[in-house]
Amino acid sequence: MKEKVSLAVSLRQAKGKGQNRRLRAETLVPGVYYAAGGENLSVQAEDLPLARAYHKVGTAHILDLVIDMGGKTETKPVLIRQIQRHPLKSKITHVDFYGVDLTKEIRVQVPVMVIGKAKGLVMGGLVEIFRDTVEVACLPLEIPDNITIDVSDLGIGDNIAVDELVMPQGVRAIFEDHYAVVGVVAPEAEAAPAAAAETAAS
Amino acid sequence: MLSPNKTKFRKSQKGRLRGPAIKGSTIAFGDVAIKAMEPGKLTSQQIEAARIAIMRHIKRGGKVWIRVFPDKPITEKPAEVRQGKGKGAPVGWSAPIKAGRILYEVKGVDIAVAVIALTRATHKLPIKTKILVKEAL
Repeated sequence: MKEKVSLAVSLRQAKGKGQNRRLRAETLVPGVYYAAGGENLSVQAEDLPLARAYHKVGTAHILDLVIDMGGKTETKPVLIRQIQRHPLKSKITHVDFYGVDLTKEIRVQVPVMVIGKAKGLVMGGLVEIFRDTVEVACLPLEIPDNITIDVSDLGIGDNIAVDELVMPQGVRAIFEDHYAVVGVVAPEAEAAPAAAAETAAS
Repeated sequence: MLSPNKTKFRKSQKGRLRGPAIKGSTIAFGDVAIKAMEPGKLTSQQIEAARIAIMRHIKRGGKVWIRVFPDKPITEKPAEVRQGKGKGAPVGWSAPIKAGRILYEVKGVDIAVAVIALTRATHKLPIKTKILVKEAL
């Protein structure tokens, strides 16, 4: 991702359930900045700029966090590690910023993107993405937007495993077992209860 | 239709559905989902009717997850029976749904197709719902 995104936050004095609820009522979102080295900080961000920044960078791109330390500001490179939302209003209720050291490798989940038309698709199969994301290790500024997988050569029953993925330079996949990321599967017959229900309906 | 294989008790009390759902309130498997926006109970017939509506629209391909299970017995007294003389007989099963609960998820079809399929399914359900699309990373 070429575009630099920054987000202004300030130090948070409010601690605990009640005080944080009052913050949320004022369109602020409580969060925590986890420092790469040093002390973690409680922070608060405006909800709209935070939602816009999250929409742009997601959880797999570096964001410049501008922390207002009561007069002076500090800029830290971070990943948005986790966003918590209200179950009904889809409003952000909490955010975790993960401070990174730009010279050290980190592990992140990068989304998978499939290109090409599989041979098996013409034969009646279905392209199934078994894993939406792949865990990779790389320097923070080299995190790819996505891992592109060409499925043109896949017939029915063929898979592409994680160790067969073509990774950009400086990026390597992290895995313990050689799991399949994408494959072409034969279309499965509809389950028995459905057939019974349709008979009953007719 | 969905029902438990075995239960400890034949009948249960009605219960109340207060507050939003915390568990099962985010998309876990699919790309597009139906979310309950108010509390209520779904019967096994309604869950099945909505599932059939989805399957008929997406035809072949794609995968559907039903994130709720009807494990609460529904009882009914026969018609023209006076009150008292014990609780009615079990007639079916329902799933208690809190507001915010994800009901169905779909993956493997175009987002537009999935949204239409799920919209058709929502017409079979007795509660207010909304269609959610999974956020990209």
